[in-house]
Amino acid sequence: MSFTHLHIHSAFSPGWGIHSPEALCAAAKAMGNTHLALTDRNGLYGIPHFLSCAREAGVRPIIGAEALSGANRAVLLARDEDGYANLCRLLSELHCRGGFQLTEALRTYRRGLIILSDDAAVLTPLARDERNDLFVELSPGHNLHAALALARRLRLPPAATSRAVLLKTEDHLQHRVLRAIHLNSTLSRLEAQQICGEEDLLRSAPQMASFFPHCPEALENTQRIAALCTCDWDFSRIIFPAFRGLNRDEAFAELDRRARLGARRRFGAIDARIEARLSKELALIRSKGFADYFLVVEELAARSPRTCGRGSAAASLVAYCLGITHVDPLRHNLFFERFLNEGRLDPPDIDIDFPWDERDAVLDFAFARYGAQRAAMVANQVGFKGRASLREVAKVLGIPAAEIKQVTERISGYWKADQTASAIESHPLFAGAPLEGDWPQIIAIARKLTGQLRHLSLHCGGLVIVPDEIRRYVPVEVSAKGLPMIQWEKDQAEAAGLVKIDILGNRSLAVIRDALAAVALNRGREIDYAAWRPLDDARACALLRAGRTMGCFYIESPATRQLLCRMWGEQEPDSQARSCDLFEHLVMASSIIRPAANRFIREFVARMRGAPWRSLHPLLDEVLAETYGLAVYQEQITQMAMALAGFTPFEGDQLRKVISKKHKEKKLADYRRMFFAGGAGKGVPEQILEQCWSQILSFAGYSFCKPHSASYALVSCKSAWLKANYPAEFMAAVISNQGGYYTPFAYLSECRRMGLKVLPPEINASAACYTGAGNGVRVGLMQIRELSRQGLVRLLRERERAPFASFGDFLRRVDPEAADARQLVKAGCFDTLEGKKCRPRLLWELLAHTRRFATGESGQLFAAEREDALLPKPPPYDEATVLRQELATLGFLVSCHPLALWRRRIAALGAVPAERLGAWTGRYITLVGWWVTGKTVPTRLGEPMEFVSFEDTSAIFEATFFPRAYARFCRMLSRRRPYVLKGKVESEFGVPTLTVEWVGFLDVQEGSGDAG
Amino acid sequence: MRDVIHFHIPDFPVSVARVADPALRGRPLVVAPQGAGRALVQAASREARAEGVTVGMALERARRFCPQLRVTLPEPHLLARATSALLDVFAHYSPLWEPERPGRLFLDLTGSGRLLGPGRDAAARLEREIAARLSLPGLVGVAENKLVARIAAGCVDRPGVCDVLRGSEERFIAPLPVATLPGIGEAKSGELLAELSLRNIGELATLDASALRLVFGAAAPLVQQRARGIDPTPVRPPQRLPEVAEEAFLERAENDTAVLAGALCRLTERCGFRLREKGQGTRHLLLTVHHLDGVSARRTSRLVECVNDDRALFEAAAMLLRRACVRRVRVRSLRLACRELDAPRSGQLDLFAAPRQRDATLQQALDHLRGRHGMDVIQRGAALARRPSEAF
Repeated sequence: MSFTHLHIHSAFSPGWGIHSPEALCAAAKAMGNTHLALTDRNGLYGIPHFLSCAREAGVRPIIGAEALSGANRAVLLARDEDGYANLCRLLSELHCRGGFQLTEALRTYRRGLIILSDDAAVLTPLARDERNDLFVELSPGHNLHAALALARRLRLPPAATSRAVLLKTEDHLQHRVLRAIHLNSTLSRLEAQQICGEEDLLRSAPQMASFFPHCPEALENTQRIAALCTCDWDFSRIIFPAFRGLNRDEAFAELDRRARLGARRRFGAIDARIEARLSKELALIRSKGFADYFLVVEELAARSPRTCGRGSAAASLVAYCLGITHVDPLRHNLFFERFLNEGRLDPPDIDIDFPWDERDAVLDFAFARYGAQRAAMVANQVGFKGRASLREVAKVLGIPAAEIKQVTERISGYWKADQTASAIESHPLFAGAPLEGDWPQIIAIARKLTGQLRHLSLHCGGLVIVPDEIRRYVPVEVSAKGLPMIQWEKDQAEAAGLVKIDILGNRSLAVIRDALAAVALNRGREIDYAAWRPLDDARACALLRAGRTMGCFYIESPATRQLLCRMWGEQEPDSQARSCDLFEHLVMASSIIRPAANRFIREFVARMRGAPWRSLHPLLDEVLAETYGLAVYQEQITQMAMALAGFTPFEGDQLRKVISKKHKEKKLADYRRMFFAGGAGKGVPEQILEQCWSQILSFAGYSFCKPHSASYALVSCKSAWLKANYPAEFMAAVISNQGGYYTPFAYLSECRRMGLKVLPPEINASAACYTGAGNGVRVGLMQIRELSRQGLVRLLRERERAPFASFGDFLRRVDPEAADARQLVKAGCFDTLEGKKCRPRLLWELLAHTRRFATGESGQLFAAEREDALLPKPPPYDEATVLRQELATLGFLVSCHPLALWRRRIAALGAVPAERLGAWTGRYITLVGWWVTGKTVPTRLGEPMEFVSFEDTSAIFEATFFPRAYARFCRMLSRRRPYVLKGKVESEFGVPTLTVEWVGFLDVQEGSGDAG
Repeated sequence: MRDVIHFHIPDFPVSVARVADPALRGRPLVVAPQGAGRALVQAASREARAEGVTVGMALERARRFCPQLRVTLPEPHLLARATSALLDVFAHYSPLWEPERPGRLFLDLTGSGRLLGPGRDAAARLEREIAARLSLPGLVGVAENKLVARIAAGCVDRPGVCDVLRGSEERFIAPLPVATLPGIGEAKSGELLAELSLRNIGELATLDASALRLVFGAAAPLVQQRARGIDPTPVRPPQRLPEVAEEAFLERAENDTAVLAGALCRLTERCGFRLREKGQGTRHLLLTVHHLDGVSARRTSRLVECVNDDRALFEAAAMLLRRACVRRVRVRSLRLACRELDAPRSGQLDLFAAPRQRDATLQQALDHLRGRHGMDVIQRGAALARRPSEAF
């Protein structure tokens, strides 16, 4: 007796399935199945993944879905390509159309589908139309006899299924927890019809047969159905968008014309070198049929004058000529094969950054141009991460939110569920406060919630465009924002041949745009963006070399700033380092900072500053020449493998991809063997190969290719130029656009260090955003907490007509919400008009004003005067209250640095000012610091440690908490308090850091501060 | 001229716990429910507060602030006993007493000067008597009215009496911070007043009526009156609705439907037992569900007829539980109150109610057993439900 499973749910059934397609395929194979259908609920969420799993496990995949709409239910299996397209269309309608009727839709999209159902309301009308490919589903534990009776009555053939969700009965609890999470319920409140049966197991054929002694044809029919369905699905064909209905040759001709036009614009004339590269690229693009894709991307990129084409596409001269990217690939020696090569099977990937606030407009344009019929966004498949799984399971068990937070706030949002579980056992953050009660059980359950799909969300910028109809290829849903969104995330979309164009938001491009606009407005200087060469400016170069890059795109993190300092040495100018090409080295610096490459960084700086070096093997000399014999860029993996172990470009590229992917152990082992075999073949000693391999592995996690880094470095340089030449305008734009690496407070401190004056918010002078002019940065009204959006708009509109003369004038003209006006007063916006001492009086006036409106009294001509006379004359606030209000309304102190309040205590401690840190190298000192930013990293032994940036009133400085200090003090590092730090100053290449050995608070010792 | 006493037992649950167990005296002590990790501090002793422990803090956190912290469980029946013992003593002084909240009482001694001596002396005697007989500390305020007496009690920081000279009420409260006045919370109006530079009660009292109206709206006259130390409200003994109520704290907080129903079953049995003892039935049920995070839900239902048998009560209460318990957060305790008491099943008998006789016999037998051996001697199966062990 043989049997094929036709109704199986994997973890891709949102809030229902629990097992991954891998696990299901392996289990089915172990039971001796030759075919397996995956029928996730209302979607094909995991089909591309399933196809590759099935291929690996050696079972033949059948594509299907269980459609569930209202009370109707049917299992749909795709017989062929046609059926697949109809399945996609039907599921799209199910998600997108209100009033969807399953039976109606099935009558429309029935061609190519096999339908299994035990729902009479679905089967009866369909059977009337056509009886072929229609089966009654018989499943043990699901009204088997009623279904059999239905089959007899309608005279339709029966087909047996197990509706498998579980692999073993114990899985049922996991399913119930998942259901309770999905339905916002508890375990005991779940009703039988809301969960799968305990018996919905993946059963072997004999087990299934034992349920159907009376109806063996139900089992035989499953075999018949499996034979009817196509199993050799090929999703590898790449589906390119079509540009304006041009055919392939016309599109190429257009691309050729535009590329040459662009080349003349970029270079003035096309010389032999340019011509050679151009024709090489164009020939490859033609043979691969990518011309349309380039044209579509060019059209989108042209929507904004300031874009940054990133990723490997920056290696393409064609992209440069089309204005998609902005770094000259010839001048900077960018490796084109990383982007396109003859052997590469997957589609090219062009990502473009737009200023973050222009991105939506670009997407709107794309949808207007291609329509929802041909374009859709890529989805994110939201599952459980460590924190979420713990939180959700705890909620199901009824743990109060406050207690959940106590546990989860110690967990990094990036940990996966199983990492979380082990972290709770060993991480020092959990030391001393072991979890008790139900937590061990919660962790045990949460540990199993990893791959389950919860729901889709919109990918931030992935856009898919097809030439004909998107719903042929993949089911489409509607995102919360109202955009159409496919059911796959980017990897599966790529596996299914859908070409993604990434349209991403970039805050720094908006920073540059806003700063340039402010410069034009304040100084009347217009800068031609296209012809702008920021590194021709000595001040910008000096700023970059000194690592004073806080606020500059991509190179503002403490690690990068320190690296820049080390490379060019702030203290001792170094002729060797000075002679290096700044741009090239900037590109290297931004690439070498990656998680696993710390140990190479010191070597890199030493070599750059003149230490003698040799590459690991003469074969690598050429490949690694420009990066001092160290692998810095991602594509150097490919090149090293080619040079050392004789990989083909394609194999090398695959190796690179495998390294940067997450699940790689198995494939990586193959490549390792290949690498060592190839190397041995070329006579490279094993020890050298071992060292090379460890360098290659250091690219795991995230790493960058040179074209990408070069693209970004260009934006960095533009930021640096603005910071060096127009600091006020630049810093104001950085804070206004938000989302930088640091907090607004940290940027304001940087402003102070740069000699800029930080001006408090003022009702007539402040704009909505921060503004910079001359040597002052004015806090914008956006910084005032709880100020309503409408209130702000009304205020600005009224102010355009004339500045406010007084608080009364403001109240009369704007008639603000009481809460808004109260915040404005407390933030000190009226201090210049009325004086700081008047704040309580203004609040009385506000009260009188709102009360008058509330009671409907008309504002009479002389009434205001009379009422004012009656208002009390309160005393002014004391100094502490003023500071408290500033903190409450703005979120930080603007009038002074918080450490300035402890001036006397700091002096009594004898703390060293941070700017003098370098003079104390090798000695133990005491410093005071205000927390700026921190980063926790594991050591090579897996112990956590932390790099923290602190600042005092003189400078920002870096402090290192090695594992012992971290374990002791990590729970004290909760920001927003003044710290006392003791430790040893260590210096490397003239850059001092503090190795912390003791931490205390400045505000807990007796005589708590001058301000009280 | 009136003599109103406000008697305040600081940290009432803590003080009571220390009476029950004298070993707890003089040490940092908090009252918190069972369930280790997730319990919140319900009351804290002075010594604990000095270490930074506050009421409402998670017990775990409190332990971290104060490692030598002693913890005792909340015992509502002890508090109830303490309150009734207090009232017994008060009854010797005056029939006019008014409980404000647990541990706080008003007593009106007006007109008993001949019998008890001046108010302040009587208050001092009362304080000593309570200390001697019940070992409970008392902070006592004596004044012309309830408002000032309460404020005066708040001015004593160790057991003793604060007597406010008649006629000087306004001057007495003027320098105190505005938040002292009842009705002005720390959170909202307190913050507003601070922003308006109104810091003490005196500033409030001297404020123009129209200005005060801007802040307090319609409540302005009342606030002004209070700010001047005037409070005409009488001491009013509590008027209680006749009701039968039972409360159950679960062994451990729970969100399992069966366990909650079990606890509810025991509650209805206790209520039913008391109702039948009184020979009364109820027409109105009120169920309050207290969740672990402090949120509670109340639901009421009106019964068609006046009942007192366990089965009918439980059926009605179970419906209430389904309506009241919709959140996922675990439940800490349940309280069931039966109101509108009346003679049971008054009205015409149902012709076809045959099984009732059997139920009634069973009920009688149960009551008989329980009357002799206690409530737990026999239990319904539903009352014994436990959390399913399969839960991991």
